[in-house]
Amino acid sequence: MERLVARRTFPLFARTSACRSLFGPVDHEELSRELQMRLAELSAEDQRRWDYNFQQDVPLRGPGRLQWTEVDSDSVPAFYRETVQVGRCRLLLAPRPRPDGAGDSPPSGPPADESLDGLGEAPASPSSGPSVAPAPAPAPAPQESSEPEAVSPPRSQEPLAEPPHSGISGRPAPGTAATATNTNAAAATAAAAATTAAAGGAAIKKLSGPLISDFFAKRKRPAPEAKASNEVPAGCAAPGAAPAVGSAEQTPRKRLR
Amino acid sequence: MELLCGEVDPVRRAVPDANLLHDDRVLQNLLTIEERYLPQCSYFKCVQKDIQPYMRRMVATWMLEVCEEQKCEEEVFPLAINYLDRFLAGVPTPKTHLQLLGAVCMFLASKLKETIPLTAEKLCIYTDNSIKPQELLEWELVVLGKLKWNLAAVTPHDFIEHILRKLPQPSEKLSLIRKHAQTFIALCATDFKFAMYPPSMIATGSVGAAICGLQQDEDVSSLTGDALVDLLAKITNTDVDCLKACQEQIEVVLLNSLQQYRQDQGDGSKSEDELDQASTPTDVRDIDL
Repeated sequence: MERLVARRTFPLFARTSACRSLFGPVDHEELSRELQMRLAELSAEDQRRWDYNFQQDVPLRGPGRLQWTEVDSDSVPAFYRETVQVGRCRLLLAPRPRPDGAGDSPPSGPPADESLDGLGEAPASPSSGPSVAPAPAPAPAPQESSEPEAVSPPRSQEPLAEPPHSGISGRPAPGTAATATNTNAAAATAAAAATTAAAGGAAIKKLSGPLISDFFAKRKRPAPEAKASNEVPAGCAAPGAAPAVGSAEQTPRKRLR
Repeated sequence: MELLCGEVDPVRRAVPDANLLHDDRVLQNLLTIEERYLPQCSYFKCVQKDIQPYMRRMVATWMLEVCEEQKCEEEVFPLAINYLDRFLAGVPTPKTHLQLLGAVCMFLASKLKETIPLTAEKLCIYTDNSIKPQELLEWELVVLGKLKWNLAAVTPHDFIEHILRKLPQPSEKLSLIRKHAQTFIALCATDFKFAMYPPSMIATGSVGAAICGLQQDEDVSSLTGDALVDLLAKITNTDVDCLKACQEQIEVVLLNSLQQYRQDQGDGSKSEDELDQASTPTDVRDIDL
């Protein structure tokens, strides 16, 4: 695989004196630990800043700086609504009927990834129902659209499935990096937008619409799914789109199995 | 198909936008916001334990080489260095991760400024494969987060056209002055001394140094000496003495690195030869990494 990647880019330039390792070999495990630590820092920062648990997609319970109010996804412009990528097109999902039991599935148990500190702070209680409607990020069209109702209830299992980011390393290197990243970014945007609106359209009092830090926090989530879903639904376009698959994806599949 | 795409130069350039360049409000806004993008502290003293100033120079020099070899837009390198400094000002980093950080910063700056950005794979090859593309992408997130996604930093290049426009130079000399000033800006970015200077001062000092340097060989300017410095200082609201000091520092750095610079030029032409070879896929060594 690495070889293939190298070959693709290689004819563009030769190894020159600029190809050099400056400070000796890199300890990849240490690098990975450091990565997790930094991501956890950022995640905790985001959580503090927005009073929102992005891992579990619920507002923090405590009296915080911000108060989150649920907004019906129909009431927001299409831009904020959940979309799904089919090939090169991005389709708007029909507003999902609100599942009654949505609030009854609080995140159960502690998150798998303890490195993300602060996660436990916000176990959204079932009764905090209005807080969040099931707001999965963009899901693969085939499953999601065919079975919209199924998405929400088992959703609580999803954040626990994989530590965020573990998926990235397992992902097959798609295309050029630039493409991959762009795809990710697009996914993140979509995810953020989707969540803002659909996720019970949790909108903030003074801050409306997805903000840049949303994008970051959201972007962490699609990754685990990417790994979990080795089988990308046929409807999904490129392999590069795999990471774009939203968090909800896993849920229906779990259900289907 | 792919080969064809690789060989055509598809870069399309926008024409200079008079609405942006001939409006003083743009310059004033740049001057107002530029300080926001300076690193928060001189990080060798207060943040970094492992990284020494000479290591920054090493990684900066390497980044400049990569940018030159890849013919990146002029702004990419100073912008990447801006990301690097701002990240290091907040995050203690072991030296073994410094090159990865440099690569990530180039990756981001290139994506922001170029129509065809550097790829992760390419950058990893430039680290002699000491990092993997996947790691680059993962750390991209960390750097973005730590920079709070504020990537559109003001660089000295943003001021160059505004300054040149207000100089009484014959326009045929401007391109040469611009080119020299750009070289000075890159030079400043490799030197930590300039990391805390506002970009407008570096730009003004670089233009001043460029004109003074060129003046020795040919008559590029009707203004010289103090009159030139005064005018330059007025354009960017810089203190005259600070500007003089900055310009002198630039000239010192230039002298110090002139020898190194010539050497680099030599290396540069060599790498161009290799570049030509590489585009011929008959060389087996090139294919086998």
